[in-house]
Amino acid sequence: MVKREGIERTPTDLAGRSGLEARERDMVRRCVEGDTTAWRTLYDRHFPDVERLVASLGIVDAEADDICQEIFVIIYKNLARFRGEARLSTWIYRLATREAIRFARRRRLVRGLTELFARDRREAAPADWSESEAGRRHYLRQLLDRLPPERRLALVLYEIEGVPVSEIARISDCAENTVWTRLHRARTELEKMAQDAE
Amino acid sequence: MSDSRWLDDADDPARLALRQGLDEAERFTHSELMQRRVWARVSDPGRTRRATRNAFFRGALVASALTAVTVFALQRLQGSSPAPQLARGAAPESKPAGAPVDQTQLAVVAPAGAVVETGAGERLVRVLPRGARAELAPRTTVAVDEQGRPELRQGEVRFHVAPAAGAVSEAKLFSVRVASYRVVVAGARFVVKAEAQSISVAVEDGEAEIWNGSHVVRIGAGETWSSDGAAGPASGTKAARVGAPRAAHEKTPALAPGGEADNQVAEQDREDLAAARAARAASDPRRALALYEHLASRTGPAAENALYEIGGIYHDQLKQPAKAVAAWDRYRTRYPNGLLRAEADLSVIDTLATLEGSDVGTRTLNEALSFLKRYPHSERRGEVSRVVGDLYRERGNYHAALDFYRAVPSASSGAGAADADDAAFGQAACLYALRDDGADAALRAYLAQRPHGRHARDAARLLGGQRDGHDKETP
Repeated sequence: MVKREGIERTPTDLAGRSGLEARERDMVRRCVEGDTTAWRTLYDRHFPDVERLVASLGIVDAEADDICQEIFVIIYKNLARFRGEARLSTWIYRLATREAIRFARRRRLVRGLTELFARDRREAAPADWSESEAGRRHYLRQLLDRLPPERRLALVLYEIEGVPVSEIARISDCAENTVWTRLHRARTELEKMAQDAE
Repeated sequence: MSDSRWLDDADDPARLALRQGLDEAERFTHSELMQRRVWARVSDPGRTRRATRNAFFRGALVASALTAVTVFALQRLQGSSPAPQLARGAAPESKPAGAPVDQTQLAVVAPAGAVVETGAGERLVRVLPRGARAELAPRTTVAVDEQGRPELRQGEVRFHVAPAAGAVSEAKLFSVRVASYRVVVAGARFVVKAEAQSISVAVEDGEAEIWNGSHVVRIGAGETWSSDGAAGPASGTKAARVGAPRAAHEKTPALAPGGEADNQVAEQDREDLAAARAARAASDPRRALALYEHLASRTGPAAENALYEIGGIYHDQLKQPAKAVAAWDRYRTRYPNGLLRAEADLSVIDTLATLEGSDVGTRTLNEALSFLKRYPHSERRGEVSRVVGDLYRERGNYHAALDFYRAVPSASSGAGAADADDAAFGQAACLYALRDDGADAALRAYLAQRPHGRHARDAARLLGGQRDGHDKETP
């Protein structure tokens, strides 16, 4: 923002509407009206969360750029439907999760097809994968790639990022029990894959 | 929940190694560069479409899968070996000589080991490993090696490489081999042409490095380079800029592909970037500055980001605006088409606008006018137009000021409202100074629309002066 000395700008008057929700609704309203500054504020506030969600699903590099772009375009197009019944962050997570998981599923399906028909079979685990940090990291990435996106998301957020289950439930837009179930299944699958590799 | 974690008490090596792997896994680190890059695409959401590359990617993958299914079925029918059609060392793809150009065909994936050829009048689009898109002109041969790296053997190819996210690493770079040269990009659209006596590279968007042994030339958007039969890129006849060769003992550019040394450089970049960010976050700007300067002495995206951040440290933490502007000037000189160019331009205007002095005012005006010319559709044009209006008004050029004030979009809320308020008053003040008949109406309109506006008192004063028939004062 270009500012001049001696001029102080007052924040939007929110008298009569208090709290975060009111501010969020106001920001959304301004975005819908075409206020690019409000849109930038919303973007800056929520981009890191969307980025983390996408990264947790193993979507990186140019694909991550693309999916983040798609998610924010979808968010913008749907802003007019935001009624303020949930926190804005929850609403954004919901849209972002749906889109990111959809993308991860598509990619997983295509990878499966490629492996099936191109006979480019999954790389076997090197015999000494468990003996070096690089080996463990590399193989863990391969194992995570084989998990369904929802389970991967739960496992990565819980086991690597240390996000509590209640937060993962909010991110994944599901019940906490569902997160525990996904986590349990992801763990079981990972254990089995790791033992098979030995 | 108990305190023990999953697999902490595992009793077999595989499960223990899994726990260890999870503990060692890299935690998510937010990428400011990616945030800026994506913002550049969604800043005007009314005009933004869903990711085209992604749509393309999906189409390409579907086409690839369909091709694979077809090939598989044909192989079964013919009872042939089930070896993949595009297996390593496979014969070039068959192509109908003289086939009509089909620009609309879906691209298929050219996997590692493939050789793709086009005949006379034939064009093909292929998706290469790592997602790069290659458009082959007629009479072109491209081979993909076992690591998925393409080599242009003859002809002409336009490559579209999506920018890599986060810190640069070898895995994120795209490299094309052509004769003894390697063209390396982190994200660009460029054309490589291999003719009998020369190699040429034209960058349409982004930047590319052309390597030959230890020599390198870097070119940006709109620039071309040609070997013209000479020994190395340094002697290229059309290297439009940055043509000086760098000796091997100099800093290895971040885009340098392949090799253990390059991996180490990329790894070092990552570590230095993380250390610089940590130092900045820990309010240790001097150390952050030293680390960023060190990074900026290299090349590639990490260096570009570092050079921009140096300006930010001088401005935000060291409170040395002149040095901040000098740093962003360095950035713009080195990366005239850089990813952060618009941000650097705005930062310079932002900073200059807070400084005093007539020469500073002239420079601010020139910077702001250049910005408006360079980015006519920028979301910040209103703000910059208001700055230009103010500067012209200060100089007594009221007609020019009016033009720019009128370009400021009206906004009733948000940060844009302050600029709209300034511009509305600025217009009235200019009319007042010009003794225009409309001044009275403009001042009244300002007060009516903004009774508590930022300039309400000034507007009332001018209106009072006018009503009392006093000599006009300079607003």
